[in-house]
Amino acid sequence: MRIVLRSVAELLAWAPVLATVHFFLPGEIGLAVWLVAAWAAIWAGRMLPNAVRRLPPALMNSVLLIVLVAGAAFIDPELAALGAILGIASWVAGARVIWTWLCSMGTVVAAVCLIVASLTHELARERLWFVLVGVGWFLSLLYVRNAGMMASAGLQSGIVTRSVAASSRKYLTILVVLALLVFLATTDLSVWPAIARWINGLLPHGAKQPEMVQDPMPMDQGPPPMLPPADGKRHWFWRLLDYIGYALLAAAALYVVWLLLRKFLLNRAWLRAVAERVRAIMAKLLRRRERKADDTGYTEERESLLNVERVLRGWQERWMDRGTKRLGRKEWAGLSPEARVRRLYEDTVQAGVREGFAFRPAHTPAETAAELAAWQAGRAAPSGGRGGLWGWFAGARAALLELYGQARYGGRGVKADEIERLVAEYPWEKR
Amino acid sequence: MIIVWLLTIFAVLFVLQRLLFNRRVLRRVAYERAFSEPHAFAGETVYMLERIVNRQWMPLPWLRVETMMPSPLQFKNQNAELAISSGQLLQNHASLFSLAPFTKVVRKHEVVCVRRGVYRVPSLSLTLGDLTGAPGATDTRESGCAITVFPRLKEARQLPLSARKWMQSAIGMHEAFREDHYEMAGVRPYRSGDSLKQVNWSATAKTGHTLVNRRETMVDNDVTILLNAELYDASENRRIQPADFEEAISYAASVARHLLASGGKVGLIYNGKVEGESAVPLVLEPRAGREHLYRMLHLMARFEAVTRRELGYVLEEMAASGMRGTNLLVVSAFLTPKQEQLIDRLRQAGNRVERLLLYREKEASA
Repeated sequence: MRIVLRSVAELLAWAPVLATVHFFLPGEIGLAVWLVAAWAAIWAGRMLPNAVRRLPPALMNSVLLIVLVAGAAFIDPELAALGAILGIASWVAGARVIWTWLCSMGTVVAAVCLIVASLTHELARERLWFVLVGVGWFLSLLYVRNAGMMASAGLQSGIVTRSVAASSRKYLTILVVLALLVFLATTDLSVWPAIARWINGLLPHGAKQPEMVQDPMPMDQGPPPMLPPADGKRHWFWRLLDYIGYALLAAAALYVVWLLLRKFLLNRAWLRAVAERVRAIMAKLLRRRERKADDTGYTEERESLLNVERVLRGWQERWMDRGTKRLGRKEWAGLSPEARVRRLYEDTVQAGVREGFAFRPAHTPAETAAELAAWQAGRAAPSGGRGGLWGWFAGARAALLELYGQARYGGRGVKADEIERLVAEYPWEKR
Repeated sequence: MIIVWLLTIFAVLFVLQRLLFNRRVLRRVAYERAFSEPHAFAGETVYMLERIVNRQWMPLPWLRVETMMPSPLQFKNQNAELAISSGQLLQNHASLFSLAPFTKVVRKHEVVCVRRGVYRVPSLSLTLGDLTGAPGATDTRESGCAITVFPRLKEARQLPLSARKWMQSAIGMHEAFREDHYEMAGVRPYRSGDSLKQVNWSATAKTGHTLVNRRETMVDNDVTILLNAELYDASENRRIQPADFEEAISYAASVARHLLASGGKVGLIYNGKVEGESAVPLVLEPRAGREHLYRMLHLMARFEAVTRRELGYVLEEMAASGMRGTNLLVVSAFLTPKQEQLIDRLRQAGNRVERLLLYREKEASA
């Protein structure tokens, strides 16, 4: 089963080339026939070295390549190119390239075919499929490389547990999704019309209708159309709305399906038994043993440190604090001595309020300062740089109150040197 | 070209996230490594705890922590833990983590302390992978992780017979003429010279004969263990293996533990090299108590089988110092004839000297 899957993967890698070459070659042999022939060639390339062990694999694959080219040329000389491609595909299958090379080859082949399709008008319809195939192989390459890098991260010693490998793949997926979102938002690639066209192409049609000959429009066109004319490009905003709409619809549909399944199907014992049977058959086909839990030799405890409430509260406090700024040197320089003292007192009380001090407007400044000092003394060690402010306040409280009283109620001025002595140890904020 | 544009977007995102992971993310990761106990005995299992905290919005797709661990600390699941080859002295240990944002992980490894010694993990190396799985930033950090492994202790029945007999005699002694123990050990008939305070009146009334309380002797049961670091006897071309030296230390530690547990006092003399000690020979005066036992075990953990002063010189110094009434246990691989003579001299001076010869024990057990 693994060999079958591998051969299908190699076929997918060669499919764009086969489709492109088949398009340019005349003949009545369909693409499906060539795909089946390619698959058979890949099978043969893979199994031949095992079947004939006495000869070197390179020789066997060379013989197969020559046989395929000669055979195709014998049927029709113009088919020799396709025969050569089948031969190369069988050679690569025989070489048993690692997955990294296979994914790289798939990406490069899709890119080359896309270049050819973009230069060829007739292949314009296939461009989207070449893009999707190329993107698919590129993503596969990323995941294969990720697995290789994880093995290197584990120093090739088996310390990479399944959870760590799964986490790494998850983060890679996040990066890929982000890249795809940016890509979709910055291109005019629209998948839905192509999908709709493809579905329409599959549906059966009636007798072919005669082509309508359109009369030329009269000179006077009448009023302009209400909706903007449909041109090749859509505004990114409408495209974004489309995608959001599709995503919401898909999510809603999945949710409904999930509810129905949960209610009617998932609780059925028979369904579980069938699922177990299918799982066992798949494991047998893929010859995969039931994986036992990683025997890591250690126990692990995980704890989330994210306290959503605390984070929201922090954001709220920062938002609330945005207008109230601590006294800085620039502001200090522009104030009169009386204003400086009053600003010092207010700034200290506001700092206390921000940290949880219960300010009472009815209290006098002396009472407020006393309560503030008592509250600060009863607290645990303050956080951040506020420790400097409270340390200064504890030492300068009496002087601050005296100067504040003079400035606010005394009616007489405050001397500059008194203020300078007061703020000698003040912890200025670095702004 | 669409694919070119897709590749360009992916390349830009790849570079941006790589810059972010290389420059900022690893700095905010806190890592600690510690043992569950500061000390353990050889053969015991302890836990090595790895605590890693990611306090930021960026995840850690994978983080590898590598360090050189001492080989005598063996992990229970070797295949899962050891990344590269394990040598005689050091082994490379690697742990791989994956953390979501704001997550703390505590990983507990079971470690068996195979051999005594002081083991430190001085530094460790952190390597961070980015979103694609490619390795990025690396950082080396100091670690204060250390553990002291004491010598393996044996039960009394596992000690050689000579050592057991000597231990028993050192703990309690009966002497006919000195009965000064605080506990009674029975009654005996009255002898001329016994104090009337010692008469047991109830026993006397019952039997009709004058009986006095019998007490044992409060023996000065200070014990000194002399451990010899010599592994090779050049005169008779005899040698013991380092494993036998470990056995000798184990015997010495076990004897010390039993005697201290019985309430005695134990001292230690060692003529070999001790890491962090300069005194030659190392002398520990007899003391009692658990603290003294652990001090002795800490020293024994650092004993090295390198002789700094020959046993004969040590014995000669002891004999010349006029030592008397001491219980001495000599633990040695072998004794030369000169050393035997010195031991006899110590005995003649009134010391009780017992020998525990490893070479003879090995032959006896072979």
